Amino acid sequence: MVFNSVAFLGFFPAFLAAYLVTRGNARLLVCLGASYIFYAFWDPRFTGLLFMSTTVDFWLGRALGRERPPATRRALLIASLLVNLGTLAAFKYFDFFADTFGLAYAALGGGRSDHALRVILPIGISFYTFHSLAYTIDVYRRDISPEPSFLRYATFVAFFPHLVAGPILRAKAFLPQLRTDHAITRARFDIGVALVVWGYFKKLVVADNLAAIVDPRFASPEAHGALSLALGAIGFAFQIYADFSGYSDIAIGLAYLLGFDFPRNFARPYFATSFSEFWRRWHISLSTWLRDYLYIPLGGNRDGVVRTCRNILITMILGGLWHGGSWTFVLWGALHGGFLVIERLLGSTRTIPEYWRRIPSFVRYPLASGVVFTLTVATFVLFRSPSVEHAVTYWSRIVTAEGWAFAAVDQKFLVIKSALAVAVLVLGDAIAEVVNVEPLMLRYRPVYILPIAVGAWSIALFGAFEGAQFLYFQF
Amino acid sequence: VLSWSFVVGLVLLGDRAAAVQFDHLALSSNTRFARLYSGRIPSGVLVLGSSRAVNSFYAPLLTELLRRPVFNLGYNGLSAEVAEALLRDLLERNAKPELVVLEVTNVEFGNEVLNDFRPFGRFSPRIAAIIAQQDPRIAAATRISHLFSYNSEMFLRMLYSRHESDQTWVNRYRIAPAVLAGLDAAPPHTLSSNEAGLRALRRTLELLVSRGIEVRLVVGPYLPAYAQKIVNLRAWIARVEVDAGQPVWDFSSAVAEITGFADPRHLNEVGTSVFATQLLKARFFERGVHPPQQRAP
Repeated sequence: MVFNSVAFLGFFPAFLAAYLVTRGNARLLVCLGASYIFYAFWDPRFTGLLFMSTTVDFWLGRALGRERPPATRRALLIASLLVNLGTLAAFKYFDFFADTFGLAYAALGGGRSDHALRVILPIGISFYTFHSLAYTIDVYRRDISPEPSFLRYATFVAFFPHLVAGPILRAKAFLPQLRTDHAITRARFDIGVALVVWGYFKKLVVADNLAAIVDPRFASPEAHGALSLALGAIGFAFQIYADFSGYSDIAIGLAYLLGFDFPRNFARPYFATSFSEFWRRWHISLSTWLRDYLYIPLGGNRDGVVRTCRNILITMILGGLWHGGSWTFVLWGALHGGFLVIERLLGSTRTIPEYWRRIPSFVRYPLASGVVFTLTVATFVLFRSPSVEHAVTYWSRIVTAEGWAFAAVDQKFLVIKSALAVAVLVLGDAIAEVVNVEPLMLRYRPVYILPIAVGAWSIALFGAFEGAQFLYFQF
Repeated sequence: VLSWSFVVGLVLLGDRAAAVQFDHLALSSNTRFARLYSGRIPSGVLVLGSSRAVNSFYAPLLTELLRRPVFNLGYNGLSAEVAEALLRDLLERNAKPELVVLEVTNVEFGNEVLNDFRPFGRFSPRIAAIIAQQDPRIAAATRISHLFSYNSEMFLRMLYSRHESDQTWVNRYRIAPAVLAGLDAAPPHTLSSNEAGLRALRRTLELLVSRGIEVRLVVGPYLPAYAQKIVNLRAWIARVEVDAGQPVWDFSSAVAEITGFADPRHLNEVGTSVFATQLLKARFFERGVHPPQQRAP
């Protein structure tokens, strides 16, 4: 089931009613049952995989809590890593490595072979695997105690607002929230609904309208002119942001109105003035996960510049690979890693930061965010393309093809409509960048009602309702 | 609960108030359909069909050449079924046309672009009925949110054509070299026969005959290289002629100049001028004239 489906319109009120009339374990059972129903709407067969992953990590967590000898504890952790990463490898990366080795084998004269499995990727596998994995690692590090209740642990892993596309939760922050019954307060309900409406606006008005512009351009870049392709690339940058942050806002909003606090996942990333800032604002729950469970264990920035740069590159490449088994994601991660390394090297010199600070801030900030945004858009071409060759064709046609006149751009009305939607998105982000909207909304009722009403009217008037899936479901 | 009932009530009230405002805006706009529903289409030649009708019959030029009003009521993807509904609405609200030109390749289409006509469901029970038949969920959604009726490209076209007629709508670019180059390798195309479309065409013709309105069925120009790719063009035209009981004027090869095309299926501004000359030469708009003898299928 997806948040933008008719089924969800029936599902959520029914869940809310059951949630309100239950307490304690019964409420947890309602949450867990609803989450499995939510997941089964997509494909009931894969609920078994979700249950298996949950059960194994719950059992390993308990065992880690009991065991004392370090070697046994390490073996249990390795077992958890093998189960979680093995599941991910089988469903998500097997074909990638099989295809890559097949090509390499053919290039060495070994003949063509195809060992790819071509299995369906279970939706949300990357997210719930990371939830479980972080839990066992935290128990291994003794950062948290193992969860004694299977019901509570299973609800933590499968809770439907975050199940299929995050934010990636930490057991340390979320499991304690499942130990108490939360009352639905007026303030929480109001802010939760506001977040949900804003999320739907991002998804239905911004992302799905942009999808209709982006998809044909990336499907056949050779059939479009330069401006058309440039608009397609910029469009994708906003589409993926609106789509994913829209999903996160709906998830966080739904959880918030039920009484739960999810971590923030986006913080207006296109206002970033450096790549390190961009990654503190973009998909925050994944960035911090990679920082805590990969970058820091690799050594972080503790062992000099060379090792730091190596650690950054490894983290970013694996972060790219997390999105899927494709060289486009690997290269995308590597490019962002490269930008971070360059930034770190420039920052470590004496003169460049000094010169940079001398530039007036009204020039420096727009310039820096312009450079970061342009490079982000350029790398997103790689992220969106089915292959590296395809991305190269896309980039080269933006530079070499004719057609920089707006008259040559097709879908003009859709382009104008989407540009207006993006303008509203950017304006909303700009306001949130300088003003803390939440207390204002709670204090002054018109400040609350007006955006809700305008959001609802905009969705009715400009929303795209073709039932497009959220982009991050594929990851 | 009271507070949220107030919010929901306010949202619904605003929704209805805005939709009423948009109704006024829609009817005062200068798009072809706004003029239809506000009774502002002059008597004269009326052109109906899909984007091939829009881009083959350039109304301002034909009006000038014929010295009588020519009105293009074509629209991208307009199916024969929706065309029939529009024509019936037109006859109820406007002066009777002297001649109706139907570009018949739209009988191929289903009602896929019907969403664009959602605003007119508010003025036309016929359009509303087709929308409800096509997708009952959309019909239900327009009852909940009246603004949802305006969630279509047509609404943006209405805003764009607020003060200016959209009769000047025509492709103003040339076919891309890449498209031309790819034509040789393109697979052959077969024109399909949509039974619902053919039935709608028959009903349209019966309506026009019953009202004493002269009608021309026509196939507009294709890019010659593309026309050759259509394996059943002659047989398809013959089928339409038999079904409709009327001859079809076949102008599929009337424009030979590549510069006159925006893509293989559509003329551009240059092409419409060449085509207008061909139409006049064939005395297409004169009363009682029949198409020249065409090649056998």
